[in-house]
Amino acid sequence: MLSKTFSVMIIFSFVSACLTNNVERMAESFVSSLSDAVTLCLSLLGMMCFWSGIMKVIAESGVLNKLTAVIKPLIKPVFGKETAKGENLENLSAAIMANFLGLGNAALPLGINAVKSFEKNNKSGIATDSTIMFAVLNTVPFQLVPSTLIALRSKYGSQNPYDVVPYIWLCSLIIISFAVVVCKIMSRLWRKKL
Amino acid sequence: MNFLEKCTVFIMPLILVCVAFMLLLSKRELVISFMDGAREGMATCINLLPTLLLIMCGVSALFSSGGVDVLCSIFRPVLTFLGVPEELLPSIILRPFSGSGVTAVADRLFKEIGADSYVAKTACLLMGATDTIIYTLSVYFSAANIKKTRYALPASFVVFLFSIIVSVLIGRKLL
Repeated sequence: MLSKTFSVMIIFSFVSACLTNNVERMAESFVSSLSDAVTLCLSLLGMMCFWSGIMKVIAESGVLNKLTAVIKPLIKPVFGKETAKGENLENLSAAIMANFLGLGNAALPLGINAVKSFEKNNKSGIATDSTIMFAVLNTVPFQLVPSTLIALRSKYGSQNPYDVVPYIWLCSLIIISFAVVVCKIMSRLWRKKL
Repeated sequence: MNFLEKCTVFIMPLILVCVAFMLLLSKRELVISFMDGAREGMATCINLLPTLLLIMCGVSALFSSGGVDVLCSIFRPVLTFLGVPEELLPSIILRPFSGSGVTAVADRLFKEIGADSYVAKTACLLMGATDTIIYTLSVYFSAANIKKTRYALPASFVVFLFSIIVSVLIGRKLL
């Protein structure tokens, strides 16, 4: 996926740059984009280390068992039986909770823990349905408090910056349900190609 | 609602306090588990760098080359047919590629048309209910060492298209 996405983006950009006479800017931005990537990686590093460590402590203390018991009935129909047990379930529950509570930076390392445990015994390099479901659901997050949006709205003098929040919840719920259905249908269709 | 925002400030420190109690009360040396976990996290993060390089390079090429404007003009007929307000086009086109880019575009949008207008609220719905696609998928799949992602990308874009329609509909009917 990555190679195709990258190639399409670069070729499309180059053609657009030639059309809009922006080749020089494209060349300049290439250099800064590489250092941006390193900066991003470094800024993730602390969070990644810390939350992976915390996750391990929590997992060994057994606190997660109680949490997973609550979430399990929701996870089972969406992710299937295999994912809804043991280490997979623990990591997945932690990632879902972090997302739900809006712990943005903590949600990523916990999510990565989850997909790593899904694919631990997978040597083929072909994604399993659980990982795809998880990744796709991560493109449609459920934010309890969309703090960036609220901050932006109050910055420009909104009367009540919070008034959209219930509608965002409604939107999210509809979209997340749709995403689950799409993944389920597509996993059937793609099975033949495996 | 302000109360809710206050509560979220407490979540992170409270988790830390809970962990602190766990470390204190446990009979085993849980600090060693923390070190092990943190070391694994470090390896994961460093291994992400090659992926991040490709993604950031591609996305910044798309921005600086004017590719975003070209995409806008390609998708304008489709999106206006779906009833999407003209002002929302840039944020929609940017959404799959960049999180910070969309925030910048929304910032300009709110400044120009006011934060309480129907279009601004629709933008909030769309931004609140979706996240970047390319970055999210790449990070998770490369961390899990997956080469073939099967239907992940098409599914994400189908869901994204649906998100646009839902936000516009809810924006128009309810706000």
